[in-house]
Amino acid sequence: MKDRVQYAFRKTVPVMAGYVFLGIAFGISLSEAGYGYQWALLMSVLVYAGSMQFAMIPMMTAGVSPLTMAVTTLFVNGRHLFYGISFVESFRKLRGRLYMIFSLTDETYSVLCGCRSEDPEETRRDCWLLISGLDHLYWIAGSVLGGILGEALPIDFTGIDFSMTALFVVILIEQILSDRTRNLRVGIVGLLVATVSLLILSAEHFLLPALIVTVGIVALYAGVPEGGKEDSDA
Amino acid sequence: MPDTIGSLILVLTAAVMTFLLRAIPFIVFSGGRQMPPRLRRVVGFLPAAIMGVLVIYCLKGDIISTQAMISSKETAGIGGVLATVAALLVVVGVHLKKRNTLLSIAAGTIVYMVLLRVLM
Repeated sequence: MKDRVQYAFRKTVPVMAGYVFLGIAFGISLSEAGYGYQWALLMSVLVYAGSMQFAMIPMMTAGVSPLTMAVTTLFVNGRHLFYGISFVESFRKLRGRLYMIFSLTDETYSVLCGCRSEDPEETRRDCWLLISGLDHLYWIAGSVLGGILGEALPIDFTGIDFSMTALFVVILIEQILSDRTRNLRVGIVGLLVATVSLLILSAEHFLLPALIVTVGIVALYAGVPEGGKEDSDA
Repeated sequence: MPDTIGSLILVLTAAVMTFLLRAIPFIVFSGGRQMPPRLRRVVGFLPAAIMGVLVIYCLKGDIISTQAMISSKETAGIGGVLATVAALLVVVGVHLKKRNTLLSIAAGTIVYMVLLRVLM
């Protein structure tokens, strides 16, 4: 058990930095909109989606319709549709499966992908629930802390959110190293499609189209047979 | 304090929608229904591709300000962009050399935070 906690903690430390910092920023913004730390707690426990929770603040203050909220959630969080696909098989026999599905955020997805690329047999799969729970806990702790401290925090942490970027870059490198030709190609597809989408569309709206186009290209690429490697399990 | 019940309904709406989006793949492919081989291959490629998209998502601010600098021929935001480029090089370099995730992230983040304060 102690070994499992250690493993899970080590895997989630990069997320901790990002989640606590962003959580504090979220809690502060929420309290400025007139919602106390109880709301930060409620939203971080139930919604648990970083960028969406930020987007929700002005919508709640404005009192938009539930339909508007539902559609906005679909667009902001639509990328989560693709995350589960990678874990349908792996989660099948796991304890706490429902919670793991609920808590599959960008960061937890990335960490689990990282765990799997360095442990393809998934021998440490029993630690995944703990990893998911720890990430959720960091996010809750950060946002409640932000709600409580409000503007009282005098320290300047600007730039610590780069740890998220670094985490994504490191995981991309690991995936490329695990399968040099193919993962390098699809990784570059993702980078290029996203950059082009960003330049054509706006910073607020490019993510979902970029993901749809990327998945489409990857689907076409995966359909191309490669000499003798037809049933390879990437 | 804005309308409590109204806000509560909005929070629950976002919560249910988010959970549904995360659960749909598990509903569609549950009950012993196996994934077709082609879809399985697509799924194998997805993480690297999506990670590429997410990296750009993280860098969107820097990419937009680079685009603005090029089109306006002004260099106002160049400090932040340089800090990002340098920190990215540190992350890639340290990671290729040591293959230690935490070390790569810490090195990149510290370089970024320091350069941000020096260059801006």
